[in-house]
Formats: sequence, C-alpha cells, structure tokens
Amino acid sequence: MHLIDCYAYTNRWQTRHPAEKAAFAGGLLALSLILPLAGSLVVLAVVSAVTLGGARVPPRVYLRTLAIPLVFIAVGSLSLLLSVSFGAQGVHVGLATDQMARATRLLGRAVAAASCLCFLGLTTPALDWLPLLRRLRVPSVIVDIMFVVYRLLFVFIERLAAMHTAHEARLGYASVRSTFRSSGLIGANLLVFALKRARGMEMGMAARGFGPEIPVLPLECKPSRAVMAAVVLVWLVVAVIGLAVQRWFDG
Amino acid sequence: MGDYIIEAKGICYRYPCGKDALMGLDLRVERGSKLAVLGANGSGKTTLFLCLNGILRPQSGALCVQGRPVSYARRDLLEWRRRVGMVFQEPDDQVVAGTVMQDIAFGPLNLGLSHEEARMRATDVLHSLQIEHFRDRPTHELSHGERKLVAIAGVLAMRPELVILDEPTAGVDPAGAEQVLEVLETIHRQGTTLVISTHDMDMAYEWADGAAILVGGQTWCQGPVTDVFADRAALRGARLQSPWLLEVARGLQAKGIVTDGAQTIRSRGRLLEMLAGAREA
Amino acid sequence: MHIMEGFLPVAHAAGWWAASLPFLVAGTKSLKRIVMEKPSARLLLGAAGAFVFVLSALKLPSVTGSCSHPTGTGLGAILFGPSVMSVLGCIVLLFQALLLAHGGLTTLGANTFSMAVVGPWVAYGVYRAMRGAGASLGKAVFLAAAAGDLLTYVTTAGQLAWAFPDPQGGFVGALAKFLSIFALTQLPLALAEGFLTVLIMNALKAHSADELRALDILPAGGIEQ
Repeated sequence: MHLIDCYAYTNRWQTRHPAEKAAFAGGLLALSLILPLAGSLVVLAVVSAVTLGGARVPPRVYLRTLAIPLVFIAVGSLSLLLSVSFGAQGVHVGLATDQMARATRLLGRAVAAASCLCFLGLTTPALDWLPLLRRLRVPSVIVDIMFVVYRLLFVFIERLAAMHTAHEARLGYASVRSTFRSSGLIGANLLVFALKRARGMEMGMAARGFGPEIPVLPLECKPSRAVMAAVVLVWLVVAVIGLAVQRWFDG
Repeated sequence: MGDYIIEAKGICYRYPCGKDALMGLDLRVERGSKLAVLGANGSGKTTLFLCLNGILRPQSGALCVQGRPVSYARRDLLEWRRRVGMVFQEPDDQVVAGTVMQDIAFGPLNLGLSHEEARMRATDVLHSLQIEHFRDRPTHELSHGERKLVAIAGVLAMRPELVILDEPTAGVDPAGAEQVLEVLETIHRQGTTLVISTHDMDMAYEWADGAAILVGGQTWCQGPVTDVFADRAALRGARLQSPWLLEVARGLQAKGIVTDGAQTIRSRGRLLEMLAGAREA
Repeated sequence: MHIMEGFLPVAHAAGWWAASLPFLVAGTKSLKRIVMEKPSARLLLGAAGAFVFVLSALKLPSVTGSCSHPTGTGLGAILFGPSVMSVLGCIVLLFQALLLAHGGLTTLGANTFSMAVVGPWVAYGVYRAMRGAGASLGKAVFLAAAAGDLLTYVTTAGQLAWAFPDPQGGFVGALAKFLSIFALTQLPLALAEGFLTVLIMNALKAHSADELRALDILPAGGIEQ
C-alpha cells in the first residue's frame, strides 16, 4: 500500500500554506465540474503544468497517481455509450453513439477533477489539513481522531507488510484457501495489534500530560495575499479561456 | 538523609487481570544521580516506572515526589508529569504526531504553554540534542533509533527534573545507542536526574552511579553501583550477569596488575590505560 | 466501490453530501458522548479507523486470478457499531482520497452514503437480526458482511444511474447497466469479504476475546451482543 503523502514531504511547495493550495485546487475542481469540456481540459492543462513545473512533482509520480482513478473513469464514461432499456420485447442493449458528446464531457471533467485531487495529495502532507479543519469548526473529536488515524496508518501498514512477508515466506498465499486463511489471520492479528497500540499510545500521551483535547500546532506561515490573488486570477482566466474555446468549437 | 527527588516505600501493584507485579517495593532516587534499575524480565521494572510517573496507581504503599506525598488529582498529576518525565521502551507509544516538531510540542502544549512557547521549547530541544535536521520530518520516516531520540526530546521539552527511561538502548544499533547515551550525558550535566532500566549490565556498570536490583516485584538491593555489582551471588540470584569489565578487572587484580581494586576500573578506556601502564612497567 | 473524483455532476455531488450529513452529525454526537466519558477513547477510535483503512490492503483472491481488496465496512460495523462507523468510514474515505487517490472530495458525500452509511447499517442490521434469530456467529457474520458489500454496490450503482439515466431506458435501464458492469468485481468481492470477515471474527473470538473487551466502551461495539 503506497501512500502518496511521501511525495508531499519532498515537493517544492510543501511549506506553502495549505489554504493557498486548497484554494487553487479547490477552485479549479469546482470549475471542472461547472465548465464545459474545453474548460475541463484547460483545468487539466493548468493543474498538470503547475504540479509538474511549479511544485516539481516528478512526471512519473504524477502520471502514476493520475492513472489510479483512470480505470473507473474510463469504464464509467464508456458505459454511457451503452444503452439498456426494458420494453415490451424484453431487454434491449445497444450502442448509443449519440451519447458520445456526453461521454467525452464526463471523461474530460472527471480526469480534470482527478488531477486537482492528485495535486492536493501530492503537494500537501495530510496532517497540514488538520489546523485548517479546526479553523473551519469541524468538531474537535473528529480532528483528534484524524490525527491519531494518520499517525497509526503508517505503523499498521508497516506491521501488515511484515506479517504479509512472514506468511509469504511460509507459502501462505500458495492457494486460494491459504490466501484466505493468511488474510484472516493477519486481519485478526492486526486488530489486536491496533488495540495494543491504542493502549500504548494512551499511556504515552498520559505521560506527557494529555488532557481533554489533542493540541495541534497551527502552521507557522500565513497564506500570502499575493498568492491568493493570483489563484483567483487563475480561476478567472481558466473560466474565460475555457468558455471561449468551447464557443469557438461549437461555433 | 539525602535529597531524594522521588521515594517509594512498600508499594504494591496488582494488575486488573490478577497479576501481582510489585510486592512491597522500596526505591530512593537521589537528586542529580544516575540510577540503573536492573532485573530479569517480569521483575517489575516497567510497572515500577509506570507507578513513578503516576500512570498506574499502587494499591498500597507510599510514593513521594520532592518529599511530598503524591496526589492523583488532575492538576497535581500534570505537575507531577512535568517534573518526572518518562520515556517508554516502545517509541511508537510515545511518538504520537505525524511530524517531529508537532510531536515534541505535544508535551509543552499539554502543559498549557502558548503555541509560540511550545515551538520555542521544541526548537531548543532539537538544538541541544543536535537533531535540528529532524524538525519537519514525518515521524513514520524515522528509524527506530531516531524515533527513540524524538521520544526523549518530547519528554525533555517539558523540562523535567527527573527523566525515567525504560530500556533506552534496546533495539537500537551501536551508533544509535551511543547517541542516546551522549544525550543522557548532556542532560545529566544540565542537572537532570536520570533513572534507566536496562538488560545491558555492561552499559549500566559504566554509566550509573547507583543501581537497584529488582526481583519478584521487590527491591533486592540498592546502593552505589560498585557495591551492588560486587555481590556476585546477588546478581546470580537475580538472574543477572556480572559485567565483563568487572570480571576482567578482577582477573587482573588477581594477577597483581590492578592494585587499586577492581571496582576502580569503570570504563573501557580506564582498563586500556591500566593495561598500557602495566606493560610499560 | 469508490466513485472517483469529479464523476458526479455538481447537483448530485452536493445532494449526496446533504444526504450523508444527518448520519455524520448523529455519529459525531455519539462520538462526543463516548469521548466525554473516556477521553482516551480517541485513541481507540483512531486505531479503529486506521485498522479499517489498512484492512483494504489485505489480499482477497478474485475471479480472474487477480486480487481484490476488502472494504472493511462490515467488520467495522460489527466491531465498532454502525453509528461510529459512519464517521470513521467518512474519515477513512477522506484519507483514501488524499493518500491513495481512491474516491474523491466532491464524491465524498456519495461514497460516505454508500460505504459508511448503507454498508455498515445493513451489515449491522443483518448481524443483529440473525443473532437474534439464533444463528451461529459464522453464519451471521458472513451474511452481514456480504450483505453490507452488496447493498453498498447496489447503492453506488443507483447513485450512478440517477446521475446518468439511460436516454432510452431511464433510471431503471441505467441501473441495470451499472449493476451488470460492476457485478464482475463486486459480487465475488461480497462473497470473499464475507468469508474473510468470518475468518477474522473466528480468530478474534478464539484467541483475543480479552483484548476485545477494550471495545466495550463503544455503544454497539464488541462481538458478543
């Protein structure tokens, strides 16, 4: 299980305030849903350029990450070209070639939106969202749990990998039956490990005076006014260009 | 009467599952000292430490910090844990945050310090432990040894007077262990009292001023390190081994090469000096 | 089954967010109560959430010889309770979007509804009903987990069908279409996850009944109910 968070710690924009990145990607994400096809493609181009050129995420990493949602998006979009209806003669399945425009618009929109998500995942360590969530008045119990989940994810993944290797060394995945058995044992062991970890962390936190809430340090930097203004400008430019190009295509 | 930073008298602790871990244990920790608590697995070391930090509450016995009996009221517990810091054996129990800075600031923030102060304390500790380069690193990327250092840093940021470490060098490579010991030396020089538990008899012999041996939830003996380690029979009874340095020194004493007494050789360097001197003579 | 980012049109994405919200609010109230009684329950809940997330890394043999991955919602509902699972599930989905690029932020509402609300509640309901009727732990767990997965898949297909009705067949035609397309992976998954959940529960019951008592602080949590 590979968490793309690791790239977030090494990219050029790791220390930029998450509000800037959220505004950029969030705004373009919204635009990709609202604008016509040309608009989505402009969004995709802009986000890709910024991710590769601005944040300097390695191209292979970006493409591999974008490829993850692509299967579902492709299958889903292609399915729009299929038509299923129930009539007097029973089920009718056919090709709906008149749905091509709809399908391509969906494909473009989804890929553009996915690129926005990948941008966020690849440039911002997930933990950086927590102070922002606190600011947005998300209930503190939820933010606290997210804090703990994040920390434990890596501990559990490491543990799962170790157990998996141990099972594999003893041919735990040689047959369907043994695969089930191994996965079952690992699942159970992982839960017990999880409960133990929770208890251990409880004591560790108590030793450092843990009180009613998990304190989270706010981020040191503040969102730059200039950057936020630039982000808004980007939204406007993308919207205008997207609409203009679409007009040109339709006209 | 020495100045005891923490004193335990006859404490008994039984776990909810029925296991008696401490059965009338006494321990005195002198201010400014370096105490090694030794004992086989199951002798009660970890349980003792959890009691000394207020995480477990003994069913009977007396516990005093700075000469005053402890109180388990929330405010008093907080003050207790500020004074008496505990570093757990398993760093994953203690390193709770996603980044190093966030984790080290956890203690100070819990103590009610402002964000700026907590950040300042964390920066100070990172500097004094010479791990500034860890500052913004995600905790899951750190090695076991590095996590141990971060765990220690997290406790030090609370500016405790006494730091208790449960097996600080366990599972750490030699270089990492050396780093941990250097850190302990640094904080001891600044006046912090240290208590460690360890299975490493050699390390304990070289490092500690005083030692206490636990057997079956009780303190078998406590005293200066040279006295405690001199009793071979006691060590054997507690299922512990005599440190090699002491054994070699005893052998050399028997041969007449060491004249001041085997217990004067408390470090590898001193031994080698002695041997070099003897060869020249 | 995660609906990927941007797949749902704005109105639908927002609508499903609105539909999930009451469950999230109720779940949060439940969590607040638990945590007020025992502040350290945060750690247990965090561990539970991380567990469900990482469970999806387990290998399940699949039809075509490749592997599929469990969702963990059925197991989570039985162990931690469905109300708690609604919020934990949403948190897991959020992290899966940000850390694995699975699912999305606009589609978080829809995915929460299908995977964190429908799935767990159905699983829990089936489990309690069967245990109430005297069924064995194995049978109850298997059917609960499988039913949870199946209903999740049906809900997701429904969400897609509503957003993309067939030009001839309307909603029903689209529903049939999406159900068929994803049946190839989802039906075997439901069965496989059913089996897996039984194996996990049996292993837990046999060796770890004591440790599981930690879950008793969660309302509707723990195995023996």
